Amino acid sequence: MRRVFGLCLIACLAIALAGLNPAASGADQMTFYVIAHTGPGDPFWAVVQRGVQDAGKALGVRAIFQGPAGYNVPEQVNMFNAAMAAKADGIATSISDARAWAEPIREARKRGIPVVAINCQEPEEFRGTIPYMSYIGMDEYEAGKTVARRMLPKLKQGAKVVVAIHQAGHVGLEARAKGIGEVIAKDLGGKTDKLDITQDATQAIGILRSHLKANPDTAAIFTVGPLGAIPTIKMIRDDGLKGKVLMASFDLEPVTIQAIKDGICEGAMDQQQYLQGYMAVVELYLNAKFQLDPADYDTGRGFVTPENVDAVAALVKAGYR
Amino acid sequence: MQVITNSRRRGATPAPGWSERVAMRQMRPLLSRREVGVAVALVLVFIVFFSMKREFLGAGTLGDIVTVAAELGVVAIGASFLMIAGEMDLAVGSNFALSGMVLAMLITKSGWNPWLALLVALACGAGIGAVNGLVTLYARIPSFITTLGAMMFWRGIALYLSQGWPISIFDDVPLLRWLGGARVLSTAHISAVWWLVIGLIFCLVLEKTAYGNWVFATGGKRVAARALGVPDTKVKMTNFIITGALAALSGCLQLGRMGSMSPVWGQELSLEAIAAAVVGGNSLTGGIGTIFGAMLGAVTMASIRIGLVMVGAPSYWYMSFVGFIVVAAVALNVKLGEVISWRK
Repeated sequence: MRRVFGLCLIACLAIALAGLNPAASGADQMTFYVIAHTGPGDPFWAVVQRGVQDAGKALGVRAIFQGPAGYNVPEQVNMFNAAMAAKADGIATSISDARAWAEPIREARKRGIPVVAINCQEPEEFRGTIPYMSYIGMDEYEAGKTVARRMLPKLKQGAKVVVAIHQAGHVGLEARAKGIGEVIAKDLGGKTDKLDITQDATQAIGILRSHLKANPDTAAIFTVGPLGAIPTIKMIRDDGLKGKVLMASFDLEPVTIQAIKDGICEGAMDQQQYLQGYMAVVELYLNAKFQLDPADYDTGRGFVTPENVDAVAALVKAGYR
Repeated sequence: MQVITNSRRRGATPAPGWSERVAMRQMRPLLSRREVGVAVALVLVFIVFFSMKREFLGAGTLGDIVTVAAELGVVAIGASFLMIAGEMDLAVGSNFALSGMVLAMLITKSGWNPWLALLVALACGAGIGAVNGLVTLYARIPSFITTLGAMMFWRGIALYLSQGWPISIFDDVPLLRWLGGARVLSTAHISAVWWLVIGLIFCLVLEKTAYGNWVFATGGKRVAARALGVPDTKVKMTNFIITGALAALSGCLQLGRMGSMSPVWGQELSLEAIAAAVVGGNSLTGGIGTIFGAMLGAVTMASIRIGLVMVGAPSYWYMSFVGFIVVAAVALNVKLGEVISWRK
C-alpha cells in the first residue's frame, strides 16, 4: 500500500521536476504569454513558437508559447484565463472567434494586463469591439483575394476551382476561402467548391482524389495551409497531375517550397509568422517596460513564386519562415 | 440483492454477514470509497503546481478551474451514470457541439425565444441519446460501436448545418448569462453552480433511490438483475437519454460562456469525460462507480490544464499528465480494492 503511494508520489514529482523545473526559476523575471488556437504540432505554429522563444532570449524575459493540440477556441480561452491568473506581464493571443474573445480580453485590460492580437483578427464588421492594443499579422480575407488574383492569368473564364480546407470552421481559413471564392466568381465568372479535407493526410488525398474524379474539369486547387498543401502536393505527384491541375497555397514549409521549385505549386502566400511571435513579445515588453503603446504590424503579404523561391527556401529549412 | 452490495457503495442494502465486518469500519468506509484514488491524485496535482507557482491557490485560479471542470463535469456525470449501467457513449462530444449549435442557430437565425430554444436543444441531445440507446439495445450492437458511428455521424451533421462556420450570438441574450456567461464568485462562472446542482441530484439518485439501485444492478450482473425484476433495458435506455441531454446541456453552458459554438469543438470531450469517470473510480465494464468521483476526476483534469499553463510548461504536457493520472488513479483504486478484500 504505502509503496504504491510512495511510487505515485515520486513519479509525479519526478515528472514535474524534470519537465518543469526551468519554468520555476527566475521568479522576478517579466513573463509574457503568446497563446494560439493551435499548438506547435502544426509546422506553421512551430515557427511562431520559435519567434516567441527567440524574442524571450534576446530580451531576457520569460516568453511562453501555448496552444491546444488541435483548433479549439474554448481551450485557448481557458489558457488565456490561466495566463491572467498567473499574473502575466502581457499576453498575445490570436482572435480566433470574435464573440468568445471580447469578454476575456476586456477582463485582462481591466486588470491592467496588456493584450495584443496576432495571426487573425475579428471580421471587419466587428472591428474595434475587442480592446486589444494592436494587431500583428495579415488580413486573411484580403490574402485570399490576392492569391486568387495571382492565379487569374493562368485560368480560363468560367473556370472551376476547389478550395481544400483542412480545419473546417476555422475563422481565418474560412476567410481565406471566402476571398478566393469571391475573386474567382467576380473576375472569372467561375465556380468554387469548398472541400473539407480534414487534417489527416491519407484521408485528405482520398477526399481530393474522389473530388477530382467527380469533377474532372477542376482547373486549380487552392489549399489554405501546410496541412492541406502537403497531401495535395503528394497527390499531384503520385497521380501525374502536374500541368493538368494548378495549385496555390498559403504559408511556407519545406514540401510547399519544393513543389514551387518543381513547378507543381504556382506560388504560396507567406505571412512571415515568425514575426507574429517575435514582435508580439517585443511590443508587450516595450509596453511593460517603457509604456510604449503597441502598434499594428503587417507581417507581410509576400507571394513566393518560382522566381524568388530559392532565397526563401534556406530560411524555411532553418525554421524561420 | 447480492448484486447490488457487490458494487461496494455506501448506502446499499446490507448483505448477509455485514454485521460481522463492522469491526473493520474505522478504516474501511474511507478506503473503500471509490474516490480515494482520484482524491490522492488531485491533492498531488495541487501540491506540485502550488510548489511551482504560488498563484495556483488564488481565488482567480480556483474559479478558472471550476469553470473548466463544469463543462467537462456535466458530460462526465452523464458518462459515468451510463457507464455504471454498463454502457458507453462516445458521441457526447458531437452531441455537445450539435446541440450547442442548435441553440445558437435557433436564437440567431430563426429568432426563437431563447428559453424555448434551450428546451429544443436539450431535447435534441436527449434524442441523440435515445437513438444511441435504441440502436444499441434493439439491434444488439455494442454501445462502443453504436456511439462511435454516432460520434462521426452527428459531427458531420453539425459541420453541414453551419457549413463549417462557428455561430456567434452578439446580442445580449439573458439566457446566455444564465447558462454560463455570468460570474458568480471571482472568476467562477455560473455554469459551475449548475454543475454542482446536477452533480448533487445525480449523486442522490444513484445512492439513495431505487432507480440508483437498478442502475448498479443493470451494469453489474444483468442476468441476475433481470431475474430480480429490474427493468434493465428501460434503465439503459433512460441513462442513454440522460447522458445525451447532459452532453447537450454542457454544449449550451459553453455557448453561454463563449457566446459562440463551432461544429468542431468538443472533439476530445468524449474521451476526456470517460477519463474523468474512470479516474474517479468508475468501472469501464459497469456496476461500479460514483458521480462524486467523476466530478473529482473533472476537477483533476481541469487543474492540470490550468496549472500547466500557469507554470509555463509546453501545452503538450497536458496529455501526458492526464494519461499518467488516469493510470495512476485507477492503479491506486485496484490496489486499495485488493487490500480491502484481503483484510475482509
